[in-house]
Amino acid sequence: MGEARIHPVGVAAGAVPCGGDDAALISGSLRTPERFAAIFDRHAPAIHSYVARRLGRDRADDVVAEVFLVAFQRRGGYDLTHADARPWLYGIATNLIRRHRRDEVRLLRAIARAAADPPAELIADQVTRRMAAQAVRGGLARVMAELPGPQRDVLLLVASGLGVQDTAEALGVPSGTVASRLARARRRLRAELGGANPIDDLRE
Amino acid sequence: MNELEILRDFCAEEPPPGPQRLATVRARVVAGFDAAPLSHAQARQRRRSGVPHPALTGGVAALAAAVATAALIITSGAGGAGSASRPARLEAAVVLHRAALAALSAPVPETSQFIYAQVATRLETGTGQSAHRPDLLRGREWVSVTGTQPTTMSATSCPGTPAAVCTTRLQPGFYSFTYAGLEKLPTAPSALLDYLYREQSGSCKGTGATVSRAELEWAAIYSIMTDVPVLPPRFGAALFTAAAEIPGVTVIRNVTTAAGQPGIAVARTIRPVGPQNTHGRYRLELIFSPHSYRSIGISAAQLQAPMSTSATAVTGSRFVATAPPATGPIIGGHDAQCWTGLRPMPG
Repeated sequence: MGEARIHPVGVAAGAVPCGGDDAALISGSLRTPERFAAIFDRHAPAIHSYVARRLGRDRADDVVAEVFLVAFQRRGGYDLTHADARPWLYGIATNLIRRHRRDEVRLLRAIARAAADPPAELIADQVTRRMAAQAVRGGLARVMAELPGPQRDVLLLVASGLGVQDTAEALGVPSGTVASRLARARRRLRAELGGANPIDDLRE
Repeated sequence: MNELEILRDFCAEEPPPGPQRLATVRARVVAGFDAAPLSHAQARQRRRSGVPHPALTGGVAALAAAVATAALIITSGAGGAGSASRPARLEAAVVLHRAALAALSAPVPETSQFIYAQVATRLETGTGQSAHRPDLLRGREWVSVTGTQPTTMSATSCPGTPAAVCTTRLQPGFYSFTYAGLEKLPTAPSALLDYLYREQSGSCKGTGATVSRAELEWAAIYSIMTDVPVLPPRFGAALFTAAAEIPGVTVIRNVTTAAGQPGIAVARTIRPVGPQNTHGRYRLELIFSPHSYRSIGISAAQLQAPMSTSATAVTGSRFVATAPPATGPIIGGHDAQCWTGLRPMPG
């Protein structure tokens, strides 16, 4: 039975320390497969949010289940020198999302359309700030839909909290490639937003 | 605010998945563990360590697949788990994994509510010619979700008292476990078993009894099932998944709950070892519906009486049929003690 001896009461399930870092858990799961469930508990919320942002919540359930099953099957090849499994999991998730590129673009375009056509109650309430925010959101979604897939991957992984090096690891490309894709994607975004955030303009 | 910060805000608009949604995904993933094929590297490592993986053993993979699909189609006896050639522990694991999947669809009360349960308890004393007619009690109970309100019990018959209906209020703290408390426990099987072991170990202190780790873990699970009529979905799934790892658990088919409902039980014998065999021997059972694998009761049988008592066997079982959570007890009533002895706990 496990080595974990830290009293877990009152600790959120996702943060329960059950057997050390990710590498230790993955290593332990080779002999005791059930231990891999702790990897799910630690990282599934963030991975789910990442996938849901890109494909919608309902599709995310299926993709996230697949992410962790693929990870489970491949855990024998995990590099145990990496204590943090997030880049590995985000990489698997990104690969699976690629199968649904059309759905992602469709979702982004729907967000852009909704922003271009604000609901009547927003106008009636004259909530200019919310309208401005919605316009930004729409512009963002439109650019994201138009970006080449590899640039969108980089942008969303970085926005999800991965650094350039981790993103490179997740995508299996050199960090220089990640940096250049990120720079190009950011340029496109900046151009779309007019070099400034309209919300900031409202504050002035 | 630069474009990357705006993008982060955009991403942060996606709310984190709720526990129910995540629990459903988790159950699918965990069910897939047994069925997932091993990579060559893992297979090599297993061979070196001498640990066989269930997925590598003949018909076990088919059973695991049956567990994985049980979320969609749950049928009585599917998978032929009753085959005598299959190891008993595996058979128990199949039942418990199905119970884990069924637990995910349990009703979820609000923290301000009470859990309402219909309860039947049968107490049997003695065996053979000395057997007494079993006492059967039926009643209702309202259990506080947070454990901060008294538990109210209403029984329609009370042995030893003239009252036709009596009500008991159990003050907060009477039960060791509460619904809200269970929601905070770990859901990883190894961490949960560690917790159960530590929790139950305290009950043996000062008794002079020695109880194995597996026995303590099983007794703790039984205590939880005694205290809380409905388990939080994610915790319930975790509890039964963890229970499947405990050695010595067997399946008992064709059992009957105190209310006469047919069920399938998973059971383990508890035999505290102490000076002069003063602790007896017990079998603690968790009873599930053979169709839906929802928890429908528990039972404790005293297989061997402690030396200090004259009883040769005592069996108690508790049937729980839950209804949608009520907002609170709908009866008033006076205090009576008729229910307090009915928790079918050994010792």
